[in-house]
Amino acid sequence: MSRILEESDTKSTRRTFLLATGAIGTTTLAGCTGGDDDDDSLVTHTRVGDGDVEFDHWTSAFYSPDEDESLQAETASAMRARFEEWAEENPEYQANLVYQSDLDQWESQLVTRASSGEAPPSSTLDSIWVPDNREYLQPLNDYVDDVDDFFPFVRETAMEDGDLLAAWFYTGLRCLYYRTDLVEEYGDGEPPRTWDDVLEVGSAIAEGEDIDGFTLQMSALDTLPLFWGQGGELVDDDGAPVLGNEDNYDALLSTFEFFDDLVEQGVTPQRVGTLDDPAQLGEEAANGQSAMFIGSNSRYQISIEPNDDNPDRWDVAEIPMREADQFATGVGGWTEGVYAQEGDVAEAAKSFAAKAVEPETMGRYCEAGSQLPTRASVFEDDDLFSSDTFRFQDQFRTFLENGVARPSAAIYFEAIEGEWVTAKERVFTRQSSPTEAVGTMLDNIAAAYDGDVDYDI
Amino acid sequence: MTVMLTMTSDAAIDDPSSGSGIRRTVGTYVDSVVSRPLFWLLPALLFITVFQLYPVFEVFRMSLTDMSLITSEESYVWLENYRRLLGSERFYSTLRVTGLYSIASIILQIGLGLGLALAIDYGVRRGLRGPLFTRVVVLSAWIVPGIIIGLVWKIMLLETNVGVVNNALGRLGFGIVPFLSDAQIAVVSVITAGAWRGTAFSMIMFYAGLKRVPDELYRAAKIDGAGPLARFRYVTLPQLKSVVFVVTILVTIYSLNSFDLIFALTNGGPGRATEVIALSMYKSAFNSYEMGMAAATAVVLLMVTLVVTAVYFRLFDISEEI
Repeated sequence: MSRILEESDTKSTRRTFLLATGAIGTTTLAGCTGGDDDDDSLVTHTRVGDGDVEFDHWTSAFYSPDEDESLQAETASAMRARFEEWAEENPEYQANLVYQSDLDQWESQLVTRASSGEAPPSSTLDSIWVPDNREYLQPLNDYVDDVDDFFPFVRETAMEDGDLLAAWFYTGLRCLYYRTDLVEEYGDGEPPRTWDDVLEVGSAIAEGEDIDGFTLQMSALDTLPLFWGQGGELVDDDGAPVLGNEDNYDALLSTFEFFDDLVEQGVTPQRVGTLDDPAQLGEEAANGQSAMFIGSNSRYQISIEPNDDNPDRWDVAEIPMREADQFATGVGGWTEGVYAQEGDVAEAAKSFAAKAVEPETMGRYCEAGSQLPTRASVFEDDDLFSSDTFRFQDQFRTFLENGVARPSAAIYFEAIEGEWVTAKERVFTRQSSPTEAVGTMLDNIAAAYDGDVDYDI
Repeated sequence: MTVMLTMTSDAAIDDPSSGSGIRRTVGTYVDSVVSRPLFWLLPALLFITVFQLYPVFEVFRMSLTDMSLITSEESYVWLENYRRLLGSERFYSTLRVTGLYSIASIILQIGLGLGLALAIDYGVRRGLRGPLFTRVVVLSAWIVPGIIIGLVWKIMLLETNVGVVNNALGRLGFGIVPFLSDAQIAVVSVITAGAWRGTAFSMIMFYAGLKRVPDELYRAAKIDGAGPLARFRYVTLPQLKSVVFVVTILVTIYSLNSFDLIFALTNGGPGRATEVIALSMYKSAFNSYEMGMAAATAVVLLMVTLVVTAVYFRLFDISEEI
């Protein structure tokens, strides 16, 4: 289940999350009102601690400490350990866990309630919700040590004016998976670093092996790094779309021209224009149908290792860019945030959130759930986070230095994400030239934006 | 004694303040109420008002606002959503796809449905075995939810050797056919899947209609020397006129509102090549969170449906049948 959350950028995964959480909704609700309230344990499915200062904490059954109730049973013991430690350290507090089963409802409820001053004291938040909640989330600086230890993307996304607004307790990333044997045979053995490299080695492999040279799926997060790596920006500080502005337009167009080249030169099949299932991408690669693809950090464990007779032939590299000195990867993950502004409840909720990003807690959770820590130090201490958690752990740690989170400006979700995917589909399926697809995308985004958009091309 | 009782009774009736008088007055009032059609229509009207008219009114009201799923604020923008919708290339693209999908669906579903119904009716009239089994098999396509059908077709049409259809074609020596990634072929795929599902409904309707056609008419036509085609043309079709009308209306409405099957099969792709109005409405609401725009799209879709239905009423002269 942790893998499901790790892939939470895709719509299908969001649906999977909804279905999974919805399916156990009744059970969960039963748990909320059921017998374990009478349980004398310090930590139950619905309660953490037994102090007098109580507060509600909205979360998902993915983060339940109860193995029987958790949607990712493998992390339940790590969650229990985190909660037990917090309860022992703070005997005066009690967190009541309120489980949310509908992701979209949860997201909209937080913003809606926060805007009217009725937000829950604290909540687990998808990292992409954080910017939307910035004005309501309370600083955690007094409770979280060594903020500089977090990777740059955490500081850029979850901090404002030096205030850490969310405790980002795990993440995931995108990278290039490639077959070392084929890259050795048809290239120089080095993974492709630039788009030209991809086209060169990819077409050679496609021609020589009669398989797909390079594949990718249609989620935005898998290809936005190609744009971000060139310094491209989707929105400005006010949330207005700027991806059509002069510098950004060049990065945008070149990205879509790369897509066009991939199909034109036979490196990538046209059918990827309809491919929206990351599992299918990975399993095709494991079955020898493709030589390189962009996938998440857990794709190796989910698709390659179980399905490839010789998984050792796979390696990972940073996503190829237009120029060799450009780097970017898309990141996601979940956080803990606090809305309570003052008083005992605020203090209790902040300490509760901060516990999630203590190095020991974070390492334990990431190890159990096969996730990536958001603190650099956790990677470096084998006692905190076993070096055996991921085969490519050291590379992932390096890649995270260039992590970029999606903006949570309303226009991103209202139009940019969808238009990006549509334009990409149109180029991959040869319905539009890159210029036409980008032009239509920019027009549609401008039309959807509630304000004036003047692309300064 | 009898006379006394009768007198007492009559006096009581004449006196409105007596118990019997009140009962009579109440009874008269109840009679007058229950004898009015409105009394009997009231439950239905109430139901329609709460569950049909109010939601329609609310959708129309929402279409005049900038309601969003991610903000609590809402203000009236009046016709702005309609202006944006009707001014966007996307709307006309979805309108074209919806029109094409609907026309093809109507033709295919009515043609195939009628063909299947005639075949089954032929079998039944001649006492052949298997019509019930055939009906059940065909109807199963109608029972299965559209989402499931979409997923099944998606697996069948996968563009690798794993795909059922492409695998079969490969064995016959053909190359991979881009059933879902080619814009034109994807539309054909969606229409085919839709027709596969909808034909069952048409078949059942037509079969029910065929059962109502008296055998005497066919026998009389035979005696008059009418061959199979002439009997179909001059007996079957006129008798099925009202059924054809109903099926056409319903298939049109279903087609115009198609969503689930296309959502699962292509999600409107590639690049909106198969995006119908209902799917565009869903995406506005739940991908872009623009409830106001989604409501405006719903209102336009309702208008399109009403206009098409009105055209049918003009084209089909079935005033005697309905």
